[in-house]
Amino acid sequence: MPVHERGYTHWRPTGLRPDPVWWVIARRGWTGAWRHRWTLLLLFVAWVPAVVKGAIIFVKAKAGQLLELAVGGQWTSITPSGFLAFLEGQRFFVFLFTMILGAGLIARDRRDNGLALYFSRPLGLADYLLGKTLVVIGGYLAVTLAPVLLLCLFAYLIDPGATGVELLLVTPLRALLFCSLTGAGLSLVLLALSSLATRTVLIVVWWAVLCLGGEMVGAIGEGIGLAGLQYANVLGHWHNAGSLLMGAEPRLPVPPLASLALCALAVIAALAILRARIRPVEVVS
Amino acid sequence: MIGTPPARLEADEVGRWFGEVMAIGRCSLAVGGGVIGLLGQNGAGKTTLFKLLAGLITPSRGQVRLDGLVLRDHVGLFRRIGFCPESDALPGWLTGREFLAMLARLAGVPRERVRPRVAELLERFELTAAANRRLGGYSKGMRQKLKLAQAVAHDPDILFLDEPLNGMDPQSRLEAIAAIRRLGREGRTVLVSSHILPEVEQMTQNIVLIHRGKVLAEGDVAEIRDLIPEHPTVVALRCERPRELAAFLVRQDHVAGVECEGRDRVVVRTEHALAFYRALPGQLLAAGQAVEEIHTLDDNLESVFSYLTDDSQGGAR
Repeated sequence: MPVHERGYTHWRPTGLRPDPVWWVIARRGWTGAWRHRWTLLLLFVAWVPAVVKGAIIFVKAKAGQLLELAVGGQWTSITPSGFLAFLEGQRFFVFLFTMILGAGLIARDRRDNGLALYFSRPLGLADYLLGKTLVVIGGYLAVTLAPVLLLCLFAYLIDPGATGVELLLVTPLRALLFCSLTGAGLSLVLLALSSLATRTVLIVVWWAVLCLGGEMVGAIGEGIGLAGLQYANVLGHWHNAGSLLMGAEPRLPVPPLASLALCALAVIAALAILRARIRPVEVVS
Repeated sequence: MIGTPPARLEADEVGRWFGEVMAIGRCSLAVGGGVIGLLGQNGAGKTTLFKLLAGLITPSRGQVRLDGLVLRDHVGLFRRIGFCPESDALPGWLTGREFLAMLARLAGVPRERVRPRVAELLERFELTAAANRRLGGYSKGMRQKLKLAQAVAHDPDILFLDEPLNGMDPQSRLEAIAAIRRLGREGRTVLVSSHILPEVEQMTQNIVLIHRGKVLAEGDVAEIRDLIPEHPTVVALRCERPRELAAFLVRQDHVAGVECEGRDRVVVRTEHALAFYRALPGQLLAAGQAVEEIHTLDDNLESVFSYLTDDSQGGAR
């Protein structure tokens, strides 16, 4: 380390505007995640259902019975309810992408000194959380909202008269709102889990238990006729609550308002955990 | 120092408890400009105080102010702070360049300036060759340099360096010490925490000594030494006729004891170092005693540290 004489003046505003800190954190997270080829490959696979739905929409349009034909059931419908069913069908990819992007986000920072380094910079807890949440939401939206918006546009372009403004504006807006809220909620829950441990693998297990385990318990409940077990279906509650927003039938045998309350509770609990766990103190392993 | 006055950091009766454990009691100190060594034994509360001063921990009582503004209430003030943590755990999946760029941008360096600034830092800390390697493959010394580089990436006014020389090779240590001294000379306030006293002594004579969660002493090492009356100051004089000089000195005021060491050295213990030093030249001249060298043996950092923290003497003074 050679010694260089450097002139030094105290910091003064330069006139150049620095990027918002939350944006720096989010960008770093995305860059880190998307540079892996297998993440991109997985994204490609996650879009296969959208391509299939698009093809069915195209065939229906060519057959001139876009709304009437029920090929593929509600899943292929271009109504808000149909898009909610499509989003529900994407939940495995939602689980995968949120896990890949978010499981280690805070755990790694806690393990690798990141919190002390971040918080010795001019940023607050809100900036940090916003940046980290955006990383996960980015992955969520890439496999949910993005295909829905493209499908809406595609369906409108091949048959503008099918549902008109509804398909061009209202459904995309509903989907945008639903995906943003669900994405933010799930991201916060996952980040809260990520703040509880320093080993990413543990968080992956917890997230799998929460998402897939809840789904399995829900399926068992449905199989044996115990509706109460559906309360364990974590991802299902988001779609069930989303039925209010999308104007669709409830997805679970649980009142959508009850699902909404459960989702709100989960977010509040996640925020409380994050507030308690994210401290700029080093973790020396 | 160039330009504006140095940043002034003040802790006003700061305390911190973890549950029922008091890590830091009422601690008040003020530092501004130059290098200040923060010293303490393991468990003394040094790291906690360091983090309190750096604004990384909220005090249970009191406040930390930077130029009169409460640090924890003004997030923007952190732009003026550079922090080098003790732990060398770094995000192994990032390259050195990415790591520096991200932290520089987080500290408010505009995007247009990040690239040249990072290149300059990499060169300055001799990390250019490893810039595009992942941090997981960095050696301990390289990590240490990188931590120092990120701390100064945004030209902060005040630097907190927690054990900054850990893991460095001897040559890098010397260079880092020189660099830290230079940062202090430039007008920055540099707080250095270390348990290796000779290294701190090479960086500064200005120390803050922590013991059992309290500030034991603060200021210049020699001045602090003079304030410890229980331990007489030990002075060594080199001369040609040590026995004769010893016989002379033992009759003088302020001299508590005299010993001859070797063939040319007399060691004197005095309880009033200042008065002794004032009177000594005249006395030697009057007696015709020739002394080649006078050297105080225990006003070094290690002795002061040892005297102040010696539990056998009742612990904190």
